Amino acid sequence: MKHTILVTAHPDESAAVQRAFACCESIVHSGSQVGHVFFMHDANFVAVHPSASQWTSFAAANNVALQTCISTAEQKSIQSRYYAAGFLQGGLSTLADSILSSDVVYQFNSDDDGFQLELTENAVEDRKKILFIFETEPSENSFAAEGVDLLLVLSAFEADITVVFKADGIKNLTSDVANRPRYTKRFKALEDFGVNQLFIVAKDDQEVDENIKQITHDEFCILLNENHTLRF
Amino acid sequence: MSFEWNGILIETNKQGFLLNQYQWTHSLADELAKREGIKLTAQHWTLMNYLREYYEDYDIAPPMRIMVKIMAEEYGKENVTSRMIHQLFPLGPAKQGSRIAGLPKPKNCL
Repeated sequence: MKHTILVTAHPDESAAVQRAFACCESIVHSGSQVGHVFFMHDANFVAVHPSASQWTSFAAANNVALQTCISTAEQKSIQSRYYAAGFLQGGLSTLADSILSSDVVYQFNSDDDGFQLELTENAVEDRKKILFIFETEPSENSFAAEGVDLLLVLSAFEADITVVFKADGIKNLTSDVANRPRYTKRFKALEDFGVNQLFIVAKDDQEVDENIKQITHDEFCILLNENHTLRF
Repeated sequence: MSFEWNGILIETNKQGFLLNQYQWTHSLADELAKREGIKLTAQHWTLMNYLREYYEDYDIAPPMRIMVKIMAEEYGKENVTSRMIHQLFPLGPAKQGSRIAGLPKPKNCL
């Protein structure tokens, strides 16, 4: 079984990066393969963090690629010449490619309590099926902007993409246009990119976009089981 | 990177995209195109105007399929192919077209 690990948390702000490392070790111990580990968003700082050395030795011992995203690095002014050994800079297309060729994708967010480890323990049947969940409040330097970029790259790779807006992520569609971050405009173009399966999981009292179909929590759980799941 | 043009300092990033998008005018587009070895025709302008419009609406560059559709509406289905659109901007219609149209580098550009 091949795994892709996506880390998105800052190394100092939560235990998520440590959990990601423990996860990688246990995958290798169980005889499975870690193809790539991606450090996106705040996790880009891992490459220049004192804790980077444990990743360096893990990568060398197990032939694992440690990838950071070039556009994140530019945005956060992290220079690759200060990277610890084993860390590489690449584009989102490397990540897209890795996701589509993996049986399991694990994501480690800062607010994560490891819940998705249980949900996606089983390999997906169809590696091309990907579920994007937008669940955080939109803001200018939002992580969701990187999520939409990845979504668009995956659509060019002919992935079978489903998008779900839930919790505060629904505000990507409903909040006042004048105050909404610019990147949220990209959601309106998804259909042009062949992404037609957009859904909302809302609570009863939430304001929703009438043009997008609502699904129940049970229907949402089915999607979680059938798809590689990425959360933004 | 920068160059002087008509007495104005034009600054770009390493990939040639304008740092100050408000400096962009039609005549600066002619100059930017010339620097990339392209002479702008009506067809270039139709596509660039559409790139600017699409960027304003959706904050990204349109996919090739949509560019073909828009150009076909203007110039007739029989005259427009994705190859023809590539020939307008040989370094990539979304990327090079956006650059000359004074837009930032498209995020969705591979």
